[in-house]
Amino acid sequence: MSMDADVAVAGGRPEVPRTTFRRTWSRSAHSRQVFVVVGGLIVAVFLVAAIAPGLLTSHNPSALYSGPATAAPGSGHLLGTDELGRDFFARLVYGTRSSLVMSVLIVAIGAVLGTVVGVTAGLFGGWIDEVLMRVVDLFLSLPGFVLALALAAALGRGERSVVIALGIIWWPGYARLFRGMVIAMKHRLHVESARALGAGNFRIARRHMLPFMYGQLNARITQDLGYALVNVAGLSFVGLGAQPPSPEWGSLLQTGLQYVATAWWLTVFPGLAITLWTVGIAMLGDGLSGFARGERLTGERD
Amino acid sequence: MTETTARAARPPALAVTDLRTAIGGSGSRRMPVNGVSFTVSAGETVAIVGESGSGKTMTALSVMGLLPRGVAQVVGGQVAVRGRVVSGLGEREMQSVRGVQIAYMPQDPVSGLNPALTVGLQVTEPLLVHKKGSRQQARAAALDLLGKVGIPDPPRAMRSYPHQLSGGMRQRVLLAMCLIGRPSVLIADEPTTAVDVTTQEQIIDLLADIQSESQLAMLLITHDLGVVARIASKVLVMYAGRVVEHGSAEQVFEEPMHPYTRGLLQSVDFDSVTPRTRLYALDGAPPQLGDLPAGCSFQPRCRYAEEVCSETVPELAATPAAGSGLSACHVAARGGLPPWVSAQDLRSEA
Repeated sequence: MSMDADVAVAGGRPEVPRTTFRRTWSRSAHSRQVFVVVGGLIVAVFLVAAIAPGLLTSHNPSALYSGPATAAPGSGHLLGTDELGRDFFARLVYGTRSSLVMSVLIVAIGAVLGTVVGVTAGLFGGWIDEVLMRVVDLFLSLPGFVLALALAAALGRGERSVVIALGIIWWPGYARLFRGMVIAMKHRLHVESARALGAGNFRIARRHMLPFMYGQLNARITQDLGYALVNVAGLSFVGLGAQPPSPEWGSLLQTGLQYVATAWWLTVFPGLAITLWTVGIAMLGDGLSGFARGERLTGERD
Repeated sequence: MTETTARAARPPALAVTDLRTAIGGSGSRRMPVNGVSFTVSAGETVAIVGESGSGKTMTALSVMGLLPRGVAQVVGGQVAVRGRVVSGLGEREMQSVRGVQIAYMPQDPVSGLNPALTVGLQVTEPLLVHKKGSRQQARAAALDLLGKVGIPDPPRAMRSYPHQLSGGMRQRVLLAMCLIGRPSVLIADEPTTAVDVTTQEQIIDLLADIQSESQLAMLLITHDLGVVARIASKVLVMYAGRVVEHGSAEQVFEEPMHPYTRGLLQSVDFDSVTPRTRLYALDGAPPQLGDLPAGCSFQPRCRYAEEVCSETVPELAATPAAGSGLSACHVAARGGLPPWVSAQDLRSEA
């Protein structure tokens, strides 16, 4: 801890030289506001596409040969057309809803389930920890994708099955992450002093541990939103997810891969969409988690 | 001494009887706390002194029921707070004891506070945890208490994060957190190690003031004999998990009756130090708990050791010497220790 710097200004805010460099790069409240605004804008655009795709494009995403097949981006078709002459921008826009909803649901199921299991195991320890973590091991030892494949096949085709299947294979990672963090935090002195003053497990987890985990949780979630999309795409590819002709980023990407040598836009733009979405979420999450940890908590990163 | 008899009528704020704490399983069991007994009455300060690893903090954690689960556990003895036995209570019941009956102040004010929460949230937390009043009442109590522990501008401090405060201020905040639940016992674990010397003085004065005002029973855990001399009324000297000397502060400082205590006092007697003389140091190192010598644990380092010392563990008992407390030493028990001559006495004679 940078004690010496603070001692000098007991009770006051340390005076930091105001250079341009610092203004730009210090993790000040200002830079967080920029993150929140930019990330928020990106996310907002995607949300509009998901809720009201008709506002962004007048093309019908399923109309075959509305233009020539595999036309390059440009005149008439903003992002060109696919192998069946469908407007690719429209397909991308109309694919947003199913992609976002599925990936968000999968990660949400995984994160909530995993957090509960991991925090419980870490806090209580002993046999509870043993039992829970063996279950986690069981799930981790099965090849996730194959398990999801089997589940999705058993539950029947469609997006619902994909979400359930991937949600179930998604949580063990979170459980491990949180168990580790909880165990590491358990003997932090401020946690022990809270316990010494009579705080219970639930309060300790919520107040004295979770605030320090936002950073990691946030990083993990944003990364997983992308991964979940790719996994959805994989299941779509083998015919278990979104059913053609309904567009979905993952399946667009998968299909585009066959034409990667002749029609680059069929892979590049779905990839960009996934990336941009992930970056937007990451910026928003980062900015917000900064506020959650306390606005003036500068210079300390997880 | 009349005070002591007057107090004996009601149960002491904290009574610890033959406390034993074990680490490890049956194969490699070690006893960091081995038969420790003491009482702390309201308004009294009892100090536990000893080297690192002597079992001071383990004693405190055992009393609080805060031993790391699966690593250490209390295996014997009893802890009672104002006459109510709290050892052996379940975690949930223990939670209702901590903070309102016994409070524990950790050593390090830097990591003892949650860096992500404002001081206000943390100081009011014990009241809210124990549902002792509304948020407004807790806030009012916190403001009042922060003022009492000597924090200038309490409303501003309430809004601050711990990193914005100096070490001494953080120590004061921690103290306010401990006191807000109005506990009858405060266990202060090395309250002065993490702050500089001038702040130490202030913290000690503050502890003494607060104690005399609120009749708090205080258990002070420290290796700083200077602090002990200033505020402790009773002293326990611990060595390798056992109490080796127990008496009033005057007894222990004026007439130490255990060779270990004498060694400790001699090694901090800086008044007698002149340039180019060798500082006194106890020979050897504290023993490993897993590998204690037979008999008295201090015997290999003791200059008075006799045959019996390596055969049986000495009991804590009164010694024939006038004005001394209890000592766990075979030699002292039969009056075999030479009279204690502190360096100050030597100088005044010369």
